[in-house]
Amino acid sequence: MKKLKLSKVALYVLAFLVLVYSFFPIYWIIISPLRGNPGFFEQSTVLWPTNFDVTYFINMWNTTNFPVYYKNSFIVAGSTTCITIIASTFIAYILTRFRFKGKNLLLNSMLVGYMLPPMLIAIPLLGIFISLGIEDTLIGLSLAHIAITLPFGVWMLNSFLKTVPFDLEESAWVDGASRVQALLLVIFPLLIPGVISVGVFSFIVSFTDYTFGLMIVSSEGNKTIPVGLAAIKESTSLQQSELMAGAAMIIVPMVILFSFVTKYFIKGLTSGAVKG
Amino acid sequence: MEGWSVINDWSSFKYKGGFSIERRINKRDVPLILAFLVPGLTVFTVVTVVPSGFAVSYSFYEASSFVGQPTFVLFDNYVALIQDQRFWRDVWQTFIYAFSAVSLQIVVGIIIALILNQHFKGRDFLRGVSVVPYIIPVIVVTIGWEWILDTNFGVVNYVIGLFGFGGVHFLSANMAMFTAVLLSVWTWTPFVTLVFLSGLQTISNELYESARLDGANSWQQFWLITLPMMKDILITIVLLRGLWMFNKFDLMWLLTGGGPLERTETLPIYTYLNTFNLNRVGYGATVAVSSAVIMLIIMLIYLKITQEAPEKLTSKKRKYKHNKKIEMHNQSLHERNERL
Repeated sequence: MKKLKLSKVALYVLAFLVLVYSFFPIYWIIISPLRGNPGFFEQSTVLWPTNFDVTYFINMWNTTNFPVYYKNSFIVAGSTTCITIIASTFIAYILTRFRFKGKNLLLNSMLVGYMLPPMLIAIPLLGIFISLGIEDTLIGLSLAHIAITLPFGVWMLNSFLKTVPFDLEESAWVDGASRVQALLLVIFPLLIPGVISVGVFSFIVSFTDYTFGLMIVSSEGNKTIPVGLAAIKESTSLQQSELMAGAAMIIVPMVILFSFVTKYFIKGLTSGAVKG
Repeated sequence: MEGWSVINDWSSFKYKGGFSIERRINKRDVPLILAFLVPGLTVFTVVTVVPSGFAVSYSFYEASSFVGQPTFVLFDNYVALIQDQRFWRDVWQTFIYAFSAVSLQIVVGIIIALILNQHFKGRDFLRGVSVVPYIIPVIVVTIGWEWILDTNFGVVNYVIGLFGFGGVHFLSANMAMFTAVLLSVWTWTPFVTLVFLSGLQTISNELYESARLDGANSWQQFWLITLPMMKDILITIVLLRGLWMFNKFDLMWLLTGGGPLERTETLPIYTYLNTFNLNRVGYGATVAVSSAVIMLIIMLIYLKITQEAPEKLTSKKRKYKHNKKIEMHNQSLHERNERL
């Protein structure tokens, strides 16, 4: 009995270590800029600051284009998510409901496309966008993100749609519904968990992307948060303290939003691997 | 941010016979099929297929920018590449980075997954928390960790200073690669953790119970049951993480920019520098294409090895099963003898 108790204690110690490992850096990013001046430097290693000060946050928000970056990021991530959901539902629907040649080729090329090095795609993509006249636009950036999110969406919803029984759809047709109506009113509701997983994944990919943003967007008014914050960091016009405030202003809303959809994100990330 | 597991159900494509929801195409379905497929596939073609083709064709040209007129040089870029010592050094550095980051991610990921697979209060909460490093943008990771690792004000240096090792310059020429690996492990380990964890949940408890009855301790249970059962998942995780780490651009670029003294310059960074800073767009494409080829070769070797090597793991398992059978047999003999 005593041995059992000890291992229970050990388990909680280990769990606590995992908590510290995962969350301490995030805690530190949020708490450090809140120390204000001069606490940021003087109390830089104190676990819990004695007084809080939001000056750095206000500086960051007012002296830089941070609000613009924020807006852009939401526009890009929002449209990437919507387009991914719609396009991948449509493609997956056709793939699961009709029999035609080249289907596997299509699915596999999506897979390969997804594995290509971002650098390989991003550089020619810039050339293509220049000739299309959409370089340095939010639409262009959103399209670039779809290169990553669409294959994920198609694969995920493809495996989801395969499990939706055909009878359901057929009985809707018998009742006089068209294919599109049946898809939207009967099948889509059943797909919601998968769609949310795809949506969460697409939003996070698009919201956090730096590589494509760096290549495609150059003007100040079109920068997203990662690109903008990196540019501020490079320009060294602001102190580490303000940068930390900027980082905290990204983390806090992300973590809060994420806490509502953790389940779906984990599901999306792992659903494939287990079956394999 | 990247990541999802690709090995969706391959098997289902080979699925033949039985119930199928696929229908042959009717003529009246054609407009619908086109309307559903064309927009999405057009975008996919424009942003993935065409660029990869362009990348290859760019590599045969010499161009200083995207707008100027390029000159066709055939294999000149590739000849230059083979003689480019900086390129080969970067191949090595990329390999070192990817290899150490992936190995550590696997080890740390498995350990955390094993902990998160136990029963304790707040487990679901901790599972959620453990994903957070994976979803935050890389720029936040670098800004935050630069402060945490700061030589004068960083909390890490403060803690190791208590043991007399303070004042470490984590971004110095000798330490930068180590630091980049450290950050990569912290941010991207949750992928390993989650996929491994979801695999763990599929292993039946009976296996462990019978092993325990045989007197196997936790350590033996891990090596003889958990690992062999997770073999396929593990192979895939390593492949995916390896791909992603080999291609990683943002973390290195934001943390060190390839410096100091080019010590952390990896292939994606060299590609970027050629294209945008050294104004050699054609050569940049050559570097990108060549790194993709090198990656492919490493991938094929890896797949070849893992398709042969698992025998070792399974043979271990078989030996264990075999031993167990003998043991059971002996036991029953023993029991019978006693009864007699």
